Amino acid sequence: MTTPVVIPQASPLENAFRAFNGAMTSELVQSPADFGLGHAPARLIPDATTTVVCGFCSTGCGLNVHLKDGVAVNLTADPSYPVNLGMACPKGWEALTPLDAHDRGTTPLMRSDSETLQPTDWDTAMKMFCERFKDIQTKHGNDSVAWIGTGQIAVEEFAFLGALGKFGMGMKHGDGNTRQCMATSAVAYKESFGFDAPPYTYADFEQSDVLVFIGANPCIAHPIMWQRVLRNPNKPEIIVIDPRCTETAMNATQHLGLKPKSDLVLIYGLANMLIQNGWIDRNYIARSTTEFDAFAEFVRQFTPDTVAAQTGLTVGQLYRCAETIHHGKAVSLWWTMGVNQSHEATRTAQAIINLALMTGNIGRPGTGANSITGQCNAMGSRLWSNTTNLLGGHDFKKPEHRAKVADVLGISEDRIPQEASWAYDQILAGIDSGAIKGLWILATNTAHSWINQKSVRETFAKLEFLVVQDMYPTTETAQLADLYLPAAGWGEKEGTFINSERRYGLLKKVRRAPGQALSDFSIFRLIAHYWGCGDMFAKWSSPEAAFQILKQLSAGQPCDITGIEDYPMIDRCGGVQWPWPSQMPDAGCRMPDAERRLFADGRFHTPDGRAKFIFEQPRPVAEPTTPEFPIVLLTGRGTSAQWHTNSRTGKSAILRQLYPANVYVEINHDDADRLGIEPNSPVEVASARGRITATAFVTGTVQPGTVFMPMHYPETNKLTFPAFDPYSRQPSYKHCAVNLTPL
Amino acid sequence: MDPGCLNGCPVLAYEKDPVTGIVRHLDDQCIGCQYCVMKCPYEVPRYSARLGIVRKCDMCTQRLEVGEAPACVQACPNEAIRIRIVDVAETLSIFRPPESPARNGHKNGTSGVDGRITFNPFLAGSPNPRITVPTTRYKSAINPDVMLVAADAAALRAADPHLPLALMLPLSQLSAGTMAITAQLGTPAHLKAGTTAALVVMAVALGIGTLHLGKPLRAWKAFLGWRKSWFSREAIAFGLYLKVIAALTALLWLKPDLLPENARPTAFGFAAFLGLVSVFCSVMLYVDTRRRFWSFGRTCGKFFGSTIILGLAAGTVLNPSQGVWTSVVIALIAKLALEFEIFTSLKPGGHFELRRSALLLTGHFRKLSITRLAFGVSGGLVVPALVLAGLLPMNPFTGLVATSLLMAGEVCERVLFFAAVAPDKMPGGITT
Repeated sequence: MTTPVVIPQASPLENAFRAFNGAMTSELVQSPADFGLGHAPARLIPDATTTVVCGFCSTGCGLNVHLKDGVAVNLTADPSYPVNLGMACPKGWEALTPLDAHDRGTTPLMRSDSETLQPTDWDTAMKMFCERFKDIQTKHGNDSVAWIGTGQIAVEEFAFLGALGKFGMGMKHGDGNTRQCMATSAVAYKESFGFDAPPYTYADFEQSDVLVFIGANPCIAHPIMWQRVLRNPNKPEIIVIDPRCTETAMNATQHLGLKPKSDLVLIYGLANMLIQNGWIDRNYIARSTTEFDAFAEFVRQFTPDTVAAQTGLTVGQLYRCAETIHHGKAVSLWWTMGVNQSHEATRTAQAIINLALMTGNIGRPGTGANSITGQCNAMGSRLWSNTTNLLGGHDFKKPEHRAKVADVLGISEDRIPQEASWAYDQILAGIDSGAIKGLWILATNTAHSWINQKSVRETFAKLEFLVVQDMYPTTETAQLADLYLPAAGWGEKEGTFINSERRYGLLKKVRRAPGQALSDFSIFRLIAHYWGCGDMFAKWSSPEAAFQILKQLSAGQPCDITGIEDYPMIDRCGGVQWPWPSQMPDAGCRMPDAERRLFADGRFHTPDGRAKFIFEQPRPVAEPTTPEFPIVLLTGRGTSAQWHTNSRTGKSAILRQLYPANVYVEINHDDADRLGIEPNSPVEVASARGRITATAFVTGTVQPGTVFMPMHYPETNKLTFPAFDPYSRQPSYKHCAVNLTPL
Repeated sequence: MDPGCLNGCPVLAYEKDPVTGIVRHLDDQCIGCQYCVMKCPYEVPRYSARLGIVRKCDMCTQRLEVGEAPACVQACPNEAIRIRIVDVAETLSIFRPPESPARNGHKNGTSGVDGRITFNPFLAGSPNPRITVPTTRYKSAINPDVMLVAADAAALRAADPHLPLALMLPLSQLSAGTMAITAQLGTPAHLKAGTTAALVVMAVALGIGTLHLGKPLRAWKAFLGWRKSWFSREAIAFGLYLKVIAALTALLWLKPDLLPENARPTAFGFAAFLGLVSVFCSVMLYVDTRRRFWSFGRTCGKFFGSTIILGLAAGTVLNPSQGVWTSVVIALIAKLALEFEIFTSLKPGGHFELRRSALLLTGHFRKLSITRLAFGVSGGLVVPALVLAGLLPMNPFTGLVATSLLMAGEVCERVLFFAAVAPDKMPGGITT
């Protein structure tokens, strides 16, 4: 007999003593909320809704913001948006919460003689900004002032920033935190395809029959993209190439758990195996590529045995992977930071591109060599930040490009520099060498996120004037500022973001910024006025007016968007992918297809129209392990509830419940046993640059001899080693040597 | 299917829907005693400090009623959550199979002894599903035979010390112990002093206990759940005991003639019995949560141990003698020995749940554990030894000193009783 479970019902007498209703009960009583939202509690019933593209990662989800008297009170994932189809990750669901944080900046703050930042008004702040920077430029030359921007503000905003900084204020050097995430992909695509053009659309996740993820963990880093993978009806083979057994690797059909930073060797080995077995698309290679023969000759040295030895994999694993790619009808290859943040990142990304080219897996549904971007507007930054590229993917070095931009903007051509800016690390080195004396940082947290963080703080101490423009004056970087400018956040301003699949999405103002905080766009207008170059930017009267200028700049470029009429069109279409030129072949149909990919015709943006095989001999890592520091430290994203330096996600009580409060280090069981480290005990992690204390998390997901630490905690980058890819100048966060000691 | 929250609620603030089985909470009925929080192995009911009541998930009943997706279903990016009506008989047969009835402990349940995880048919690393017969199903492609350990399996979390309860319980046990020794002594003077003391202490105990409630004005409803809830039974016993000793005290002070000499042993014996019943109800209240650190043996030992020690201590005030002082020493040593039993779990092979408590006691609560020992030893060994050696006078004042020290020790012990309980819980993430 199964033990019966008897729940006694209350007797009528007992029921007389029970309060079924009252004030507390009615707090949660729901009523229909309209707008297709279903039932909701009274305080959350909206009177209107509108779609806003999310401001965290590059997936670019549509969030349906619920408005009450014009103010956002809640949000849900938008089921009609083509990106996320009604889904959102924890960050998206909590997108409004960081706006309400008690430590929002509400006035400009300046450091006079005192140690602390003191509130001031915009007039004083703007005068200080202009006087100090002009003073430095007078003494040390125009190039002695630089900026470090971000991938978190709107397209119109960093186009304005780039134009103002270079054409208005005469700066030469400006870069963004996108250097830390996407620079590699930009350089790789540019060299291989002739333009920084990620070819894919998210539908490819659903249309592949083989998906290869290299240094990518979408389960955690891009959960909505992973959700698209889960919708794939083809029972796809999922191959994950990652030294860690990540959440994505656990869901893979093949996990190649290679040794850290042996990825380039592995991919060359796979290429060789494909060539040796004749598993390549000779027609496509002949029609659409160049340099294949040299490449084939080059990869002959990567024999299965040498590759197996160098990667720690078996020949069988390699063969099975190559064979799977060969059998795939639509193979897509995806990479993220595991590739991009490497000492040989650009060549690794290009090795992936080579795999796609040689197997003809490009330009068809479900294919592509696809870089998954990091920040919400990293793609926008690549085209519009006016740092490495002249506005709109143009080239500072080309006179015809300078002339075109000068003409559209109505400025004199000689205001446009003839070469690109220094990269992020070069700007910091410039501060060290004394070449740069004034720095303006926007919406990024260098003092937390930069590789080998300690050196950054020492570097900033050498500056004569540091301005930080951010939502919060409490970030590690803002705390070092001489002048802090309070910026409006996502949801408090207008503009566009470009997501990973090249989709322009619309950002809308659904909240008022607190106190005197202003949108970055308005701050730039203010600076232009105080600097005395307001006339030059008279046409930049609003984000949408700026968008119209950018459209003109894009004309004739691979990223042409002249066919996008205005913001309402972007809204109507659920975002619009570039390119969308006004002379589109299927013009007349004014609504672009919801999902479009590039290179269907096998023509690329290079002068000869062919994609190029680019390759180079692999190089050893910058900081190999030593007897003193025998363990490899990998860093990366910790949970889907954390975003970068946690300046925003740390403000949500709900998100805080979803991730560990303090820094931890993932250690393999074997290492823990050998070193006497107990689970959940404190452990010291030391590198040649610093030592920190973290909680040991003993797990089988990291290999013996490696440890993993999430990047969201301020301790992590005290340990990392400042190595850079020579082509993209992207920092190599994924490899440095450390030691562990139980405490 | 057998919800701990509902079974434990003293005010019938839970309703189980006969069709869907969804357990709903009546917010305006709740007194904020948080007993459901202790009773639920899955931490579903949560206390709201803002409202002074507990709230729990009702599976968005109001949305389900009109065919809308609950919030969690809508929010999950991987479409991993589905809500449907379960097969009652099938669920019972999984978690309470016929061969081993529900009472028979944790055999097929949860995290086993050190280094060995026994198969849990509900979810690896989760609490014993036999306790409440949960209807949630975790479906995974991962082979269930793979040994899975929660990410926070090695994490130690201090629990709420529930200070009002940690004071109320030893005080109520002091009262019950005092009443018992008073009834034993039986002389009119002892009865008057002892019963009065028991009354005052019990009144203070209940006063402090009320501070534990989020909504004390609703506390009068606490008897409603008497059919299932040991909280209700404790409340009824406490109330009855208080009223009886209050009546006796009033009689002794105002109309002693109404209480004839020959009726006194029965009357005061009954009062003492009610006191002990109250202590028993307190014991069962915690035993019924099925936490190992609060097992019947351990809780009985602690609660009745306190009753005996503090009762004997009261004896040293009311009627000091060599015998009663000696008994204090013996009782204290016995109780400390019982309390030390938990540290045997530190040895390899110790049960995870008890091991966590022992580690908390020796680690996080090391100072408090030492303080507890110091109070106990000074009140129950040092002072009695000095009295028995003739170095301290054997008078009520010395008795009062010993009682205070012992009481302080028992309060520390009770804080640790609450704060070091570490039941199995749902697997959680990395804890730092």
